[in-house]
Amino acid sequence: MTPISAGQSSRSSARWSPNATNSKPALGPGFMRCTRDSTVGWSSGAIGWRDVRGHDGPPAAAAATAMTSRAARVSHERSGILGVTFLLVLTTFVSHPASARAEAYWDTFPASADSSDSARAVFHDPPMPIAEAIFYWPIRVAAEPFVLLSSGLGETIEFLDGHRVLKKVSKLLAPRRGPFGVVPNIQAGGLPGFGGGLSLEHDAFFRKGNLLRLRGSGTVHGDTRLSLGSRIPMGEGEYFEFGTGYRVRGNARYFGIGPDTKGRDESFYRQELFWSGAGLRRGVGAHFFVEGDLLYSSVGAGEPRKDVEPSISTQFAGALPAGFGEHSYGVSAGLQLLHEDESGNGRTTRGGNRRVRVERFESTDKRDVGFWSYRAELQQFFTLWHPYRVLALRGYGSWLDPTGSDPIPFQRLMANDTPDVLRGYRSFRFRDRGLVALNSEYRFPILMKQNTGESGADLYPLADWGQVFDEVDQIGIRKMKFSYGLGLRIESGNGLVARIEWARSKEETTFLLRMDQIFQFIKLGFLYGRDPVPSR
Amino acid sequence: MDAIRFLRASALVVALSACSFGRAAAAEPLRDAPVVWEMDDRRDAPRPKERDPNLLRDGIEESIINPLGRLLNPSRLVRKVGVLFGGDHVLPASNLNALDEVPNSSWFTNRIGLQPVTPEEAARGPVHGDGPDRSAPWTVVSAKTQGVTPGFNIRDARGQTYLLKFDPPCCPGMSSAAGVISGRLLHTAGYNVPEDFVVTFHREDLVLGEKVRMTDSHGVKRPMTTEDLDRILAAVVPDPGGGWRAIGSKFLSGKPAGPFNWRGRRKDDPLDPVRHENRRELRGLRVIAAWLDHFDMKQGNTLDMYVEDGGRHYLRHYLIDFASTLGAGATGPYPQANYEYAFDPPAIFGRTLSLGFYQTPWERLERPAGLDEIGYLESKEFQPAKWKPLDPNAAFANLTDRDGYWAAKIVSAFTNEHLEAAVDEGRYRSPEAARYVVRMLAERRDKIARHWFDRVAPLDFFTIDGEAVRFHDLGEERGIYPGTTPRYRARVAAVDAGRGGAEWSGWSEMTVPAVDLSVAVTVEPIRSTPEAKRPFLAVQAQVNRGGGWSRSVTVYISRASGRVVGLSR
Repeated sequence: MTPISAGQSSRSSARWSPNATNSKPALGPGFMRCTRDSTVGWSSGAIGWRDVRGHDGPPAAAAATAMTSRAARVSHERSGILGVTFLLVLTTFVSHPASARAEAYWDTFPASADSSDSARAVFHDPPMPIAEAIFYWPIRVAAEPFVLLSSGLGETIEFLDGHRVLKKVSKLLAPRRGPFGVVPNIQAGGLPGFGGGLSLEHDAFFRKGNLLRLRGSGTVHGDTRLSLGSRIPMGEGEYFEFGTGYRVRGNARYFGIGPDTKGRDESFYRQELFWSGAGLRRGVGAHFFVEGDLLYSSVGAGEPRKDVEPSISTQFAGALPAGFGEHSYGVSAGLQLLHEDESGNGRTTRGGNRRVRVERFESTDKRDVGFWSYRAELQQFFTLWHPYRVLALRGYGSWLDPTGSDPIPFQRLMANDTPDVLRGYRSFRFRDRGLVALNSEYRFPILMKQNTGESGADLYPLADWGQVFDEVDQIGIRKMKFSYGLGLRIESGNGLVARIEWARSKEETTFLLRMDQIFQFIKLGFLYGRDPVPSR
Repeated sequence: MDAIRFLRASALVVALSACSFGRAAAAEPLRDAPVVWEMDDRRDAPRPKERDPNLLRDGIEESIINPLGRLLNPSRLVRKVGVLFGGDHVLPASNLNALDEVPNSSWFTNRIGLQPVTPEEAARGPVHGDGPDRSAPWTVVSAKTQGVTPGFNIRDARGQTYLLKFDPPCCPGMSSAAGVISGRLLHTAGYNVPEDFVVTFHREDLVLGEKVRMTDSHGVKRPMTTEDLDRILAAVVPDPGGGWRAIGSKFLSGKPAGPFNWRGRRKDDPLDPVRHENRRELRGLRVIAAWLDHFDMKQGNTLDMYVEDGGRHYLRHYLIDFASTLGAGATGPYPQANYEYAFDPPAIFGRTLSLGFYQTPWERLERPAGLDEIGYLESKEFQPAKWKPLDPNAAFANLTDRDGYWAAKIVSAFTNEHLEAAVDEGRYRSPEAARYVVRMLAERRDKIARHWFDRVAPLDFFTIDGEAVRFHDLGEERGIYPGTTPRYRARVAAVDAGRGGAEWSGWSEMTVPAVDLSVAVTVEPIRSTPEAKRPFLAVQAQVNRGGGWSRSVTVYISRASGRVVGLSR
């Protein structure tokens, strides 16, 4: 075979031409049949189609060159390099694009579908190669149940979607739009266990914008609550609200009082709460608010459900806490200053909430119980090198300073009575006059949708520190309890919020499913039936 | 011991199978016959039942179930081992002619890939007229009031019906321009698309038709009033130039038969014998869609039309709705589109494992400053092989290197002039926006070409010219490898119809893409091989741009007729 190089002018006689119409060409041993007396100008290869897109020269000219490359080659054969150069110049400036239609890049590509140089055919998929079938079919047969299952699942989805069931359920679970609504709520894990409830909501109660919520829920562990609240907006972030509620926990826990109680001392009691109160919140500057509230409450502690044991009266028979077997009635008045500048709709990314609160409680029953309650809380969100990678911190401290002659009933002491304080420990695990804690979450998105700020899924490693104390000097690293875990928070575009948390401590591993967010809790207020004992 | 023996035997079987799969692309026997350029799928056929797939089910199946099925498919698993031996992870496309090209069909028409197309033709695309007739007000015949972007169906004075769709409220001009431009480019590439136009109109250009009904915000169907019309228009962001701007999509001719599936065949269409995931034009569409950032490739954005053509009735297969292209989104641009599936387990897993520290490329994306008509269209982070549509689909998952090369060949055939002409049809308000889109498309085109031309040698369009076999080095001709000087080498053998029996001549190097056969065929062993025994010549060519010799491209020539009868890569 002869190497061909640009510029080489091979002028050997062409002995074979597939384009000759009356030829009978051959390329076998006897193939040297001369069908056309022409010479081959190999350097013409360098001009064919070069720079079609115009990277190195005038684009239109390049396209024209491409379109007429065959004509240029023929000319080259006849006239040599000079002729080609002339033709190039000519085609560059003279050729018309319309003439290009007749020429395709494959010689055989027909100008029309009916060209005699073309053929029409039906294509089919080839059968599966035997070597492939040997592997495929046994596993395919074995997988048939799964195929049927997925097919059934698909049919079910199609049926539900076709009958708008999914849409209705989604609408039901999401915060509703419009004046009336029924919002279901589910939860699992923690002390209450699995349960759910309903919230009847009205967003134009007597007047547009007035909110009314009637909520009721129950769980398998006997946590029952019913609340009614209303909020009347008075301006941007300002409102008056009032509410009342009743809650029974059939299996509230008691481990003793103080930071050094033992997990093995777990006992149970029945906690019964009733509250009724009102609050007023007014703005006092950019992001600053003052909130005052007045509350009447009763907290009772008695024997637990029969299916949980031991009871306090059994476990702590010789040292029953003050208030057990009784109801504590009283009135409290609170005042708090808040600064709120968190940003983000759904996925909070910056800013935070800060508040300090002071509250005065006086009993209205026969006991002389009174105390000041102090609380400081800081929630802060830090964006970490990405808008939705967020370090969320919440630090807070509460302390009760008694003023009456009788001890504070144990059911009014500070405790980790919600699953959000010291996750990884059982609810009510720690109880005393004071509580300090730090919740931390590093949130990062694992699923981001189009409206990234509002919907998607975040994963978050979490870590909590905290302890209860009687006197401030009891606060120390050694007594501080630590827990850690992993959570997944989901925010749908329509405001549906849920979180799943797994947390672990030295004593326990807990699992939690909630349809709220941990840092939103303090905002719920009377409207949403947040029980106000102990003071938060 | 038995277990070990069994494991060894299994490993051997897998390895052997993988080898055989690697070579399983058993090519058709060579025939000295005209090349097939037309698929026989436009005969008269009965009208199929209209498909109406459930999009939720489709999304779940395409996102979760089908990918899982592909992942666990035993033959695919073994084929993936076969990739190490030069095979593909799936069987080759089933609708290829002897030259490894896609014949014209009711799905695809060879245009810029196989023949020159002028910029004017590219700009015209499928359009036969000049859009909706403006000689009289348009009559609103139906309205879409729900969803993020409202729309109307209007009928013009010529009786043609158009769907008018508006841009998302955030971004006037973005989706309408992208939709028209992408439609033009996809048509020029060879696909069937509707005639789309950018239209602007004022309130007086619309009149409400008789007995038009609409569904209001409460889901109640009732007669539409002019107040409804005004209310809908009031919700649309007006065009800065006055009036409103929309994309007008002319109703396709024929009767709609529903979308086509990316997987399987249409059982009630006798002219649809090839599984869709085995159609090269659908596999290769992944490359072209990547070029255009056309991420919304759900089957709802396809449409089969039962058309009449010269007395015959058959299904013609269309791609529709290109509003979510060129970095735009029908409901507004968002960066993760084109980079992640809607549900993307590997991405979720990756972020989880890295605790969010890993920053995915789309997180670095920014919209071009000052160009509010442009979404997240860019070329720096764009990686052709990593582009992803909204949902994975079976055809895209079956893309092989050869399919990718075929599509890249089409993409790289677009010149900057083609792009300028097509982008001009988008009627961007800002000339800078138009220039930006052209530049991005050009840079993305070159990235695509480079990616696929690196995997499959871009030696193509072999023709016989006298005693020479000439071919084209598309990488060189299209400027994909600037600063390199290609060298070529070729060798020749006489082969039988089964492409076997090749006793190759030695390699000869060239500096131009042409092989002189006059001498090649005089050397042993070709000279001594009777034509009857080995009726075809195989010419194998490679290119070297400084990084070593590429994989071979082999063209087969009939020794009797002198015509090119086959090509393999």
